[in-house]
Amino acid sequence: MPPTKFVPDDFSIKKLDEKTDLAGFDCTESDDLGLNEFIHKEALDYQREHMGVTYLFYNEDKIAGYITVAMGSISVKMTKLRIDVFGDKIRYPAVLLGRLSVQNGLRRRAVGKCMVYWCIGLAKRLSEEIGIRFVVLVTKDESRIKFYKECGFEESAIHQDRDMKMMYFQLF
Amino acid sequence: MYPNIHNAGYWQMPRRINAKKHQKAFKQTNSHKDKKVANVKPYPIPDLEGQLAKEFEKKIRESPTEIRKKVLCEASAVFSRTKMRK
Repeated sequence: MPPTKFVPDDFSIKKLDEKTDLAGFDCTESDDLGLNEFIHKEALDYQREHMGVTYLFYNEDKIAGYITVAMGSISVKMTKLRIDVFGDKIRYPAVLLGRLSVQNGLRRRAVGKCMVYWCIGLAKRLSEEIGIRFVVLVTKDESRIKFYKECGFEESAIHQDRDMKMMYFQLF
Repeated sequence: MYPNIHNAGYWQMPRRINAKKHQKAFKQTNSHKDKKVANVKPYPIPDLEGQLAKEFEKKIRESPTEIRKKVLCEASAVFSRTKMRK
């Protein structure tokens, strides 16, 4: 019998701080992007320097996953959206989904999907206060690209790096 | 004189005179603009022409697709349903 999928109600969210206990969190499984090292060693520094805010998703009392978000932008040429008034000299404002990782034993149970949707919801909420047109991320590996496509993201036709692919979700 | 960007009008003069002499319609060519770099689209465009190409352009410029609308709707629900931990 396949393990049950999580639903949004299963999670509570907390912003990372100095008091957060990360001891039980391990996401080393197929972690070629160094996401386990990031949460344990760098995430707090990013937050102190206002370079990215990390949100931890708790299922009961255990951390199921985390995301780090920051502000970003995307070149007009990388998207399919053309707004005639602005031409293609500008960059669209965006929320950058910088990091996303799920606890080892909880993969393929919709934790990542909940976190991505939460991030899109956050971007939509923030867009009422500041200009945001997209949610963007950079990733590699076909399985991850497939996952983000299932979440409504599109792959950019232009990539700055051969390995890393830029993906975007158009909010409006 | 060789045609270049500075004598674009002038070098066509013989052709204009010739056309007049032989009572032919003179069709001006903008050869100096021919070398302009093609407008390369950043996204893949299927091999379409005319109306079909226009329709495709219109389609890809269209705002939220059905999938996006659905995701946006679900995302808003997820965001509002998820509680902050104390």
